[in-house]
Amino acid sequence: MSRFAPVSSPTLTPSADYPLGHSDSVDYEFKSGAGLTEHTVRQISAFKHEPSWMLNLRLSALAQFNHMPTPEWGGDLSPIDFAKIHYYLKPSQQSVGDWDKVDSRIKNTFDRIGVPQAEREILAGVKAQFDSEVIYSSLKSFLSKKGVIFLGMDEGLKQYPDLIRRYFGKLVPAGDNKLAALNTAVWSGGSFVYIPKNTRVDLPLQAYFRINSPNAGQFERTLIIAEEGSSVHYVEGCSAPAYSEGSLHAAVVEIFVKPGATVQYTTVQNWYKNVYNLVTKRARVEEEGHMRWVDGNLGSRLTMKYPSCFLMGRKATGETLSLALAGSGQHQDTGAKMYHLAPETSSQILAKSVSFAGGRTSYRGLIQINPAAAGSRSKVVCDALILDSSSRSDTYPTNRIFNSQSTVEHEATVSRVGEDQLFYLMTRGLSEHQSETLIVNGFLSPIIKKIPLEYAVEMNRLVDLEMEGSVG
Amino acid sequence: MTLTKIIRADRPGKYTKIYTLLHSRPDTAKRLNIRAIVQNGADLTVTGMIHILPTAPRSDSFLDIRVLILDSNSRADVRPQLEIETNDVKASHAATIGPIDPEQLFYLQSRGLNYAQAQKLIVAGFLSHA
Repeated sequence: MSRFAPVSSPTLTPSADYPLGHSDSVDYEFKSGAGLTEHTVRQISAFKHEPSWMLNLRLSALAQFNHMPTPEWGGDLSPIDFAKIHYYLKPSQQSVGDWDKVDSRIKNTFDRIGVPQAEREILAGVKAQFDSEVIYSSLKSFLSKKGVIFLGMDEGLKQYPDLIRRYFGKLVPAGDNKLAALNTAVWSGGSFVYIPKNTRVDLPLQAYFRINSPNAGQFERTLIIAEEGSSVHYVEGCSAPAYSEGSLHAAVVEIFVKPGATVQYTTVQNWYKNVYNLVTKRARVEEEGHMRWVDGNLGSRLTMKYPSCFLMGRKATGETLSLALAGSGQHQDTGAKMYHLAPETSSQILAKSVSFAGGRTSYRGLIQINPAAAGSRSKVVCDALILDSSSRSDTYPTNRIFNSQSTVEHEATVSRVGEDQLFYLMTRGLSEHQSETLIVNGFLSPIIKKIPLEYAVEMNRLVDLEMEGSVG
Repeated sequence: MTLTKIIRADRPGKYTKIYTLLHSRPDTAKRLNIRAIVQNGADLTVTGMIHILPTAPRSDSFLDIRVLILDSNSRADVRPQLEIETNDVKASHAATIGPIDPEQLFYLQSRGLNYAQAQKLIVAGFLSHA
């Protein structure tokens, strides 16, 4: 509560002028009925003219989904009614390469989230996922000249079915967990990225995701293959407008980091406060490869996401920078997993979370160092900030060490914004809200620094926006 | 209140240890140091939880877990956990798991101790500095 200023309401209520809290009306060309049956899956597959192996994969995943229990070890998933979700929506707009042809209402939605038009010039390609279809895509010609493939997953499957068949579902098989099975059965959209040998992509590849219809499930599927010695930075941003019924986002991301390759995958997630965000993200890192996950979770009702690295080759490295912000009614259950399966591998996890106005953040992580991974090192740092007495923070790490030549260090601290810090800033003329935002932004800055500038700016604005009305 | 727990997991088999620092009242301070060695095929799981209830403002809690793995057929699973339900508190934990620093062993051996003596001395020091 406020100690130096008049007491204001501690609860965070979505204000009418919350820029993401709107829903545009858009015509859907095809909308699957609510609920999930074999018929729905066949319909989706037929609609996309997929090869038969993909249909078979979807059907077997559906059978697995139906047999698996809903996981109970993490956040509360019981309010999700799988029978009420629309599993596939296709906007009437076809995929276009020219921004001018994009539907003005859809453009309007993007303007409201603030994807600047000018970014087209700077960023290599803009993929805008509006509901379940990529409606806009542009790819700078020099990327194609390098042999880089950056397509929507559906388009990728049409153009490179053999390549996709070799990798699809190999890292996150349908049977991995219930949500991965669901995604495999009904996936739609997402990105397919292929970087040829020794190719460096200097500009970040960017995809922008959105949900825009009540009960619209988003099940995108992303596959990134970075061949030997290549490097790429992929950026995924999410934001969704407001609607009343609970919605589900269950994505799967698979990344193959070949020897000596470097991949950074950055996520800025700002789903609206009724979305269940349940994502399986995994990277396989070979010899001397490097994988870095930057994972920012701001929105959603419940997020359960633990980006993983399988360090398969000697001297492979994995790094996760995780940021979570939980306000009223939110639970961010996030973290990271590192599996050390080869000698001299190293990993690092930095997790920072802020909870306020009754929100809850949980760090859940795993470090596993197998007998074959002699000489491995891992370091985990979790810092949590709790802004008021009704909020909560948890830390649930597991460190399994199966050999005697490896070291693991773990540390976690839970703290609050110091009164003296607030007082000092307020004597300098800042309001209590400004002071607190400044302190929180400073707390988060080690992670925000690793995000491309335009996202970092957006991130700071979002933190400011989210914290409005909450006083520590 | 400072507590120290010493775990010697030195026989084959499974060892499971669970410790909880529960803060249910205001102004409580607790500190728990856990020192463990695993060897001779032991499989140790240590869970150390700091749980601060909403009714315990101004709590101060610290948990420190250090595990030495002395041979390659032994293993450790270390789970330091926090559940903090209010904000005006200090709570942190730290955990390290690893082998004996080879440089320490080398130094003692250069002073005329054999490997077993050196190891014994380092382990004794490790356990007594909790």
